[in-house]
Amino acid sequence: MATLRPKTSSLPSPAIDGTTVIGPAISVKGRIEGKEQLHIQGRVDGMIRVSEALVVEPGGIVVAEISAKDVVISGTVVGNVAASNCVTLNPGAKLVGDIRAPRLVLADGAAFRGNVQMSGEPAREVERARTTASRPVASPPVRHGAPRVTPGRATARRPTPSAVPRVEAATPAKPTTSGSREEDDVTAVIRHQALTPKGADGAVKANRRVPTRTTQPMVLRAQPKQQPVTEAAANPVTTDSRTEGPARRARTEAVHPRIPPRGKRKLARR
Amino acid sequence: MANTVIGSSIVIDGEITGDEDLVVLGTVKGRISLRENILVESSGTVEADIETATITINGTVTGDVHASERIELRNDCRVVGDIRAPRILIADGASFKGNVDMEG
Amino acid sequence: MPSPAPSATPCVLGSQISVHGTLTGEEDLVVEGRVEGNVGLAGHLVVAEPGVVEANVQVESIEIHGEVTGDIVASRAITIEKGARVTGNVRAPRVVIRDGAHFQGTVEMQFDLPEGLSKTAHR
Repeated sequence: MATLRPKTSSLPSPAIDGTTVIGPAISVKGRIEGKEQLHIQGRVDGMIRVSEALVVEPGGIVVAEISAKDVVISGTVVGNVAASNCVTLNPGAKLVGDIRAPRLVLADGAAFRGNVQMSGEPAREVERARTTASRPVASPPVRHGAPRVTPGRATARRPTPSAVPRVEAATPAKPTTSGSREEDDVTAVIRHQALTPKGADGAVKANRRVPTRTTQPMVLRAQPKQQPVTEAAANPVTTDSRTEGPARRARTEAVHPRIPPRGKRKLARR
Repeated sequence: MANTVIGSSIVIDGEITGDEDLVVLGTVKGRISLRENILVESSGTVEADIETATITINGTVTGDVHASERIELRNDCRVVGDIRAPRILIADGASFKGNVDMEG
Repeated sequence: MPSPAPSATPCVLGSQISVHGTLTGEEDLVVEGRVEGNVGLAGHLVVAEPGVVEANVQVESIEIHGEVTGDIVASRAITIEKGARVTGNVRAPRVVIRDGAHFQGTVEMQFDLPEGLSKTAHR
């Protein structure tokens, strides 16, 4: 018996094993569930749950809650997306909805609006205690036996490259504002200045507010008219050293070896 | 030509509409309304009313089928429901229960 | 851009530096230390790998390799690199999140959906 062939175009051959394709002229309203890869070129409204990858191709439109192992979006998706592995938004993708996945890649050119929750691998805690001082930083030698200062204090330790035109002033919670702006709280204003090079064996690098217009490295000196910052910078241990003996001593330590300390204080080298 | 394939592990519960050919290897429940050709492979299970241009069934279809051109029931298929098309072909070995209406 | 080269680099907030308060400026900045408070920069901000920013940030563009906690609003682009840890809401015309980045919060980019979908996307 002859098998009649359809007069219209021949039927498409089944796709690669394990891949479902919803073609561009197809619209599905309802739920799709499965254990294989799903490529969407058409439109799906409802809910999609597959245990493999879900690919929304450019031109594909999905208005649905999505749950898959991997979700790769190049088209438009409205709905929440949950992936057990990775969600990728390619350029041209549009997603409005929440993402819940351990990995997320948002390419340049993708558009996204929604909440992101990445579970699994939280690594470092984001909740840096505001008051923690023990954050492991690139460990420079801690001066004065003090760990990286008490909370909120500024430690100036880094020699900024000389080419850097400006410096940032680290300011502890000093009552005096070291910034030129009159904001509440301490303000650090980026002006210019290179920090002084390291003093004696890695003593505190000067990192303080410099009188704006000068370009020469300001040195921590024992000066009466001290900027609070300087002092703080010079003394990682104490933050409000002003006229205290030990503070003064510490301060002088930071003096650049080439520049003689001013005044009557002796340079006490430890 | 577009290539919509519903894979063997896929279950669609809802309504499928469109303008291109469809190959069903998995399960579809609900409604199918196409303007082209449908092929239900032997692993395919359709519990839906179907409206299409042509349909070739190797698998299982439960529901009414209306084709504007042709319906072909191949051997090994199992169809329960009314079928309506101007041209109908039921192969030897096909299992069919329902009404046949050949008035397009 | 992540690690400042010693020549012709923008301002660098060293890794042992901590800013507590409001940080403003009109040029590019690289943060290797710690900033708490508010950041308003008319330029490009780079939070280097050791950098920690606990602040609301308003910049032209930002590139994050370290840690940021707070809301970020950029007028041009936000890039969250691999290994970065960002918690907070971000808003910019362009947002890029690389594989390996860790982000928690809301992303808000302004764009239009195809007609018919905007009503479904009540956002």
